[in-house]
Amino acid sequence: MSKSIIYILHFAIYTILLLFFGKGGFKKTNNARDFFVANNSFGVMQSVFTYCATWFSAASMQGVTGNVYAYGISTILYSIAPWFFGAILHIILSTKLKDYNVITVPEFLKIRYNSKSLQVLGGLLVVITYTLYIIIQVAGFGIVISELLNINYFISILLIYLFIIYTTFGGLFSVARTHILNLTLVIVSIIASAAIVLEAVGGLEVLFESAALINTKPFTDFTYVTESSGLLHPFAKGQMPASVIFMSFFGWGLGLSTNPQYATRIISAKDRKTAKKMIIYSLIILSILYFGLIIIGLGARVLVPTIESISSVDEVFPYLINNTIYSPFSGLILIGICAAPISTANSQLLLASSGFTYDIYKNLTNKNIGDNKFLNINRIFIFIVATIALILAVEPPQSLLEYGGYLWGFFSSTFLAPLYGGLFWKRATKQGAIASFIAGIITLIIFIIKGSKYPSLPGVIVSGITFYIVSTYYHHKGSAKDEK
Amino acid sequence: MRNDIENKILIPFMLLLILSILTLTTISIANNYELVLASEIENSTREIKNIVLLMDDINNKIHDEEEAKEFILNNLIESKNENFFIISNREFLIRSDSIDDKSIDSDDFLITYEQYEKYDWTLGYALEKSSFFYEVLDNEKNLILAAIIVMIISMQITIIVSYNISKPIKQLAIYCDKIIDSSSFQEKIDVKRSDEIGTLSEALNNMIWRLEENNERLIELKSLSTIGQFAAGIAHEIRNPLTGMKTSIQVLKYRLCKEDNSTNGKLFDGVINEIDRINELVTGLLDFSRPRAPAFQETKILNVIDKTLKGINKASEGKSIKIDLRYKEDIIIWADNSHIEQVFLNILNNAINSIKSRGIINIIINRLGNDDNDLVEIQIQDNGCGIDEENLKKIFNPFFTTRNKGTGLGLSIVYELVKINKGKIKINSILNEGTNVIMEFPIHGVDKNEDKNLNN
Repeated sequence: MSKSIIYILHFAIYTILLLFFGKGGFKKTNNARDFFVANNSFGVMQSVFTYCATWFSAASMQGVTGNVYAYGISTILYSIAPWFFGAILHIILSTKLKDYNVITVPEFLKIRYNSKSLQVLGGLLVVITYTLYIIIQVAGFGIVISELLNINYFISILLIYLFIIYTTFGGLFSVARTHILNLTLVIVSIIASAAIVLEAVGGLEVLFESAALINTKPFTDFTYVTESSGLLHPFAKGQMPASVIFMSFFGWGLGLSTNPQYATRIISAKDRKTAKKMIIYSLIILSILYFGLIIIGLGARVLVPTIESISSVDEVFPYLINNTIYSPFSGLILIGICAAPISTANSQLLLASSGFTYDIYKNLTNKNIGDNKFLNINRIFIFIVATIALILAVEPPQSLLEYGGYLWGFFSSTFLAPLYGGLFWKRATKQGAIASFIAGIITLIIFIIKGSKYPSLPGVIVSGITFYIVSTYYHHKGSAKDEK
Repeated sequence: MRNDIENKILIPFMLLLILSILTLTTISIANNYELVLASEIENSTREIKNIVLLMDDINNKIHDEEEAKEFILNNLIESKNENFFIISNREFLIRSDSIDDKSIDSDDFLITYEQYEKYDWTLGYALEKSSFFYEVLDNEKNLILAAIIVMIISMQITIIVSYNISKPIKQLAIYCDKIIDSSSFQEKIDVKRSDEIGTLSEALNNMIWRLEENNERLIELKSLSTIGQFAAGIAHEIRNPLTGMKTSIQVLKYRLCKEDNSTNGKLFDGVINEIDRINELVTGLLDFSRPRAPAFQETKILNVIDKTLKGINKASEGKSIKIDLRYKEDIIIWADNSHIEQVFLNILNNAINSIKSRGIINIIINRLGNDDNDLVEIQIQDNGCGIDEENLKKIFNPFFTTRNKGTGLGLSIVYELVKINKGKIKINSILNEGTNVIMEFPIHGVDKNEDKNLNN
């Protein structure tokens, strides 16, 4: 029996499981609050699952393993540490955000600053960035699946398209139920592959000893040759300099801390305590998972110091399970790799939908539309966004993938100051929030066009300064008026 | 898992789908398997034939049998066909990779063979059947993919369909649960569908509408009976002293006012008038609270109307009101003559009062229904000031009036009298356009000899 048929059979079983887990949300959902934040009903368990599953995308599953493979453990400082830094900011966020009875982050901006246009701006940003993000997830999934299942690329993106539409139609209730399945699969597949890799290498100690000796190129056409012991060096012996790591705190860390996909999880948690526990427990689970991924990445390098047939870091993990450590578990591990982007993409699709229907449409028309009608509009919009993502993912524009790396920068350059400032700084004003939002986005775009590698740093700084200055100015003006 | 509509539709549907997909896949695999098997048999037969030809050829060239055998075996071993074997006297001369003495008899292998009688050899091909199976399975990949896609889409559609069925039912249930008191009747079910659920919700809405109506009537009746008892109690107590007062005042007037035009005489007249009004009110109250049991008799409607109209002619002429009576036949009902007269009188008085000046009152008598269950419908229409919706609801309530001088008992009495005479009454009205009072009484007979027209 060929490998691809084994993978397809696994995939078919996964489909049935996903269909089963994803159903039920439809009938539980009665209104917008049910649809977007599951009526703020999630307990600790459910919150942890959905938080982790949303977090754990292809960027973790394939990106981290591939980067560890190429650059070694400096990846921890480059990506994992900034992410965790962002998550710690979530704890701070959770203490205050639950004070506001909101459904979306842009709605928080509207209520805090009493500005409809701020909600519209936020909604617009959410729609655009998440649509782009979904394209990247869809394309990433398509590449892996079409290669491993040996099927047409279009069929494989059609599959993830159907999966995410199916789960998102049921709202957060459905999405969160599939998150339980997907995260479980991710955990199982990481543990299984880490165990198989460790067994093949000969134990943890041997792994690090052998990793220190490696001094080859990771891929044939890779620019750098790994220096000996470079894999275990915090800055990869200069390949990941401290400055790059510092910058990534702005891009990844602050981006993650303001990314509405996590703020929404804080909102959907039952209460403040649950939200806080959710973040802490999630970080514990994620640490274990990342430890597994590091073992897999390093182990892959030890087992195959140079992979000739691939050129991108994202292909390391799929290559590994399909070739180097091919075993009866490979099908299961592959499903874990598929589950990661699906569970992230459906969260994002739901958010994109809330950005349009809730933050823009309902906010602007201010209509008292019936719940059923509103949910139907949502489903139509979900269908449209997913279809756009599908069509664009057929031949993803190169520029899109390039800008995809900056997506998180959009969140930190726009939402960061108004969100955290609005929660923790009493003198923040509407004018300050709008000005910082616009200034941040313009700065970011200018730096992206100029070709800067780290456009989110100036974006965050400009937006922060604008926020402070404009808010202070209008606050003084406002209080002066009050005195008169 | 709850046994709800969604699952009841979804589970059988998905099972059927999976079953049909499995059947399709199995049939397709079986077919392809047979095809592969047939072609493999053909291939190996051809191969064996070739080898036999080759052996014949060698036999012809090399005459020594042993030498020829050895040459053939060496030659065949060199050609390294892994599935080929030769058996002589139950011993393998050439053994294929996969086969041994035991498995040659098992079903897992496809064996094609031919006797080579000259040497007493058996030449054969042994192919493992499972290897074809996997080969066939690999070719079914597209079918499995198509099945996955069809499964997701049909699952989604089933969920949407069952949701569309169960959701309105749930809404109906929630709605019915919400009905706790009469105020809940205000809300109507908002399910607009053309299917059975639509019919159900419409029926529910109708039911609630009737419930609401009956509920109001019930409340009204309750208050009516309370007021009735109260009023009857007081009325008696008031009427007796009133009679005494009136007699005394008449005696006083007789004694004190000899001249016709004395001012005192006018005062006395005024007092007597007022006493009469009180008396009237009290009588009305008594009529209303304890109406006399109807003395059922044959009552000709036209006679009653005629009599009533004579009584009110003065009032209607003063305002130049035209009264138009339309009928086809005189109808006799089984009712209390005086009750019916009182009913017409009260209604016509109201109609006249509603018209400020100049107007028209239509009295229309129609026969309804079939012979067995005949009804007469009497409509009294005016083009007066009409009644607004709010007041229309309270129109039969005792003491409800919009006129300063009214007692508010007229229509309450009408309602009671119509009811005890086995009739029905309904009032439609549009503000500033007019009012239509519709009554129905069971018919007792028809007098065909009456005049066809009687206009006033």
